[in-house]
Amino acid sequence: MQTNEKVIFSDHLQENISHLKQRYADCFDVVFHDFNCGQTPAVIVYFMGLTDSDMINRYILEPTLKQISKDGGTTLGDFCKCLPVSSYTMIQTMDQALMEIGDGNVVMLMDGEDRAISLYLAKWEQRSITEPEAESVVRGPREGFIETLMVNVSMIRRKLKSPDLKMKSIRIGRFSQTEVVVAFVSGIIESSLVTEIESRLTRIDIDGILESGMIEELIEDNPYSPFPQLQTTERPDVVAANLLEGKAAILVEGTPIALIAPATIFTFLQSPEDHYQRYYIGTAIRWLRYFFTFIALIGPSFYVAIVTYHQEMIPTTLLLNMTKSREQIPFPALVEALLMEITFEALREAGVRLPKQIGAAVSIVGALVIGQAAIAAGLVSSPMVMVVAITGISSFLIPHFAFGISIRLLRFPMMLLAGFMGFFGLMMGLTLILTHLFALRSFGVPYVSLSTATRLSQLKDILVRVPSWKMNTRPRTGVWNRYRQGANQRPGPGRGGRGR
Amino acid sequence: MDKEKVSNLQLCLMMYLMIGGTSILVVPSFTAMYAKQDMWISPIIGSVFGFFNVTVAWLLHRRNPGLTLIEQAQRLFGKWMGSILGIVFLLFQIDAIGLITREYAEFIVQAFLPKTPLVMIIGCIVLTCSFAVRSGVEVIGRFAQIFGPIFLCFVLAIFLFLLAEYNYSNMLPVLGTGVMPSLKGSLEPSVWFMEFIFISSVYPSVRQGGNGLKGGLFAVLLMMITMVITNFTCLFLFGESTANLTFPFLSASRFVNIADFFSHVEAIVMALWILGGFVQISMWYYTLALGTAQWMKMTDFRPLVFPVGLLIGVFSIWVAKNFQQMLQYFPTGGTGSSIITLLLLPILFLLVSLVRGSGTRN
Repeated sequence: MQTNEKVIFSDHLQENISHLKQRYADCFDVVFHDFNCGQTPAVIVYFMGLTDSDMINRYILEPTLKQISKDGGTTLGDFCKCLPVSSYTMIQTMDQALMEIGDGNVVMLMDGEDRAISLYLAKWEQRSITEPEAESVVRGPREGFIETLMVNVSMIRRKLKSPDLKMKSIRIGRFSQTEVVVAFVSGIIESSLVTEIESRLTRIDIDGILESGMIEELIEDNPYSPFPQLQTTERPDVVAANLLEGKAAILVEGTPIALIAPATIFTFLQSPEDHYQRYYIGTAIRWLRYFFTFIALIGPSFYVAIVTYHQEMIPTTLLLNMTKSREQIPFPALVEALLMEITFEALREAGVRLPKQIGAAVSIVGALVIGQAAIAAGLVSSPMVMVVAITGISSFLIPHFAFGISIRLLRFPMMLLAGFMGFFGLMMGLTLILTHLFALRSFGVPYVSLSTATRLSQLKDILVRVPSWKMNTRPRTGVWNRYRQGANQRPGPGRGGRGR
Repeated sequence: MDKEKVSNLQLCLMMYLMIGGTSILVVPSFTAMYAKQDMWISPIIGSVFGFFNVTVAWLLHRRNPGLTLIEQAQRLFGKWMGSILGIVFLLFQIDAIGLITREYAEFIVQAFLPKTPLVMIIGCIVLTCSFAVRSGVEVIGRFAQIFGPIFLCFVLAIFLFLLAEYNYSNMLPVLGTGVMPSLKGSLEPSVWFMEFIFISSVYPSVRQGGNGLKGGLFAVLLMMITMVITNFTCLFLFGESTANLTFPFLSASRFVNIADFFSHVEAIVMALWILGGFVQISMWYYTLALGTAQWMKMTDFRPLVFPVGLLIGVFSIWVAKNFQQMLQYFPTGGTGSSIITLLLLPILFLLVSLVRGSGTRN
């Protein structure tokens, strides 16, 4: 955008066209098509590739040349009523016209009119809906978001058909002018949250938004925190579930990743499947995840602290074995741990970035590096390999990648602290992390919101996963609309059916 | 000053941890010194002061809503007298927090990191706590809510794990030499219980509608139960020789041995203890920083956090030349100054508040 002042259409077609042509100088893919609408000269402007030219021919040019010239409708208002195009808008300013053209719509100008009409005929190549790769489930819907915003919006709309599902659109980015949609369910969400999200979005002023990650970084509460403060997902069912809990979703054109705000630490430790499986399993898996998240954070540092400072805690027979295997190792436990953990991270990163065919080679080499060969070479002890492997596995138990990588990152300062001060250092590190977590907020909601739960009902979906018929209240919404379902939903013989 | 709010439960657990951590560290041996086999009765007697002080703090809070002790002093006694009384509290506090930090640091150095310089440990503790204090009372409240129950559980767990080792006849004869020994023994725990007066620094931050009196009294009750349990553990295990041990409860934890695998858990005990200790020091630190800011009529205590932290670090080294001197101080000078500052002064406050009565209430 070169100017901020609004250029209004003039009555003269030629003036408008020359202005548009000047703006679209050196754009080979823009099409200006002149034709006559009755006696009046008219022009349609669109981008090749963003617009369906077949539809232009069939639904604009053909009826225009055939019918309207007979009937003699010569104003835009008359004109658009005669077109077999379902959706159009009148536009008043040049900037609006540029934006509509950029979206792939067809803008039509007529001589003698100080306005234009935009016809929604956008169509471009898009990926088909596939299973989300980063969030796969055993049980649950198999569809994931794609790069086209309207398709994503439609996927949510298909799950929540009520008119209370609101979608507000905002344009962000000076050059990209990316369409961003804030979705929420009115009547469940606190209205102040919507205003907060909107005001944070509108104050963004950068060149372009290419992925929702850029928006995430520009609207989060604490920009220095290592933890993600918005939940990301590529699953429409996750978005729908969160909207029903009184949260808001932010969808961005051009990326399959949607943002959900506000987020708490527990949202990052839950998988959508928890709610689709039986609740005993859901609860058990949830606790497994909590436990291994903890291991992922302190596994190696705990080992380093014990081996360096608190050997008496190890049962004697195990201690003898460990000492035997550590005897040959030239490094202190801390160095050994850092060496192995850094190698592990490098291997993981290499595996992610490489094409799948070469990825296999990495895993073979990796097995040698973190494995028997490393022990045989006398670089690391075998217990260390075990610890690194367990820690690695536990970090993959965290269902959200962004949170998992934060935990993996924090493991390194923890190892240093444990290496220098044993359990005391470990506790210091934990306290510092917890202080940060307790002080952190996501859109005004405490990140670790255990303590705001004065009612135990808030913990129903955190400590355990109670059966759906027990989850009567929504987490953290206003006093209005607290209940998410009718009373007495527990199934059983004699409830609902005839009681056979 | 502070718009952050804590819940009633958080208040209870904050106060519990604020007093709890060090009380199980050194108090059993002090109590055993005088009360011998009746050492478990002493905390029960001592807790009277806790209940009393919480009630006093609550009455003062009701008569001067939203004000901490420092602000109340200025309101009740006028500008000059109030400032002088305020600084008495502040000086007592910085001395006390110096002692507490030193206790923890000595404990860590003696038991686990013998080659690490004391200053290093003190610096780490104060630095870590200063971040929690800067984050405000809400964050400390959340800490307390998580670590309070853990702390209580670990005291209970050690008591239960040692059941097989106990010699129950250690507690006989009950009151064999009259009430006097247990009364004398209760002097030391009662100092800890008197510290509950600092609940008045948190009262203004308790969420509206919470019954702060109940929360405070419950904290005293929890504290009493904890002390009785630790004293029982030490009594059943060591008998009267508890008095000769520096950290009797830690020594007790060394005896834990389950199935020959879960043994030597004192490192874990220490770790949990330290977590409780962080809350304890943060609470004292917060009260001190807040009080100082109010005494200096500042609108926010956060700029004071790091300077006060530096003072705490320095004081914790100044309070005593060595650990023995510090242990000597507790039953002697410490008790006296505590009784004056934590018991007599609040009573004076309450009396003045009652006399001035409706005049001060707007």
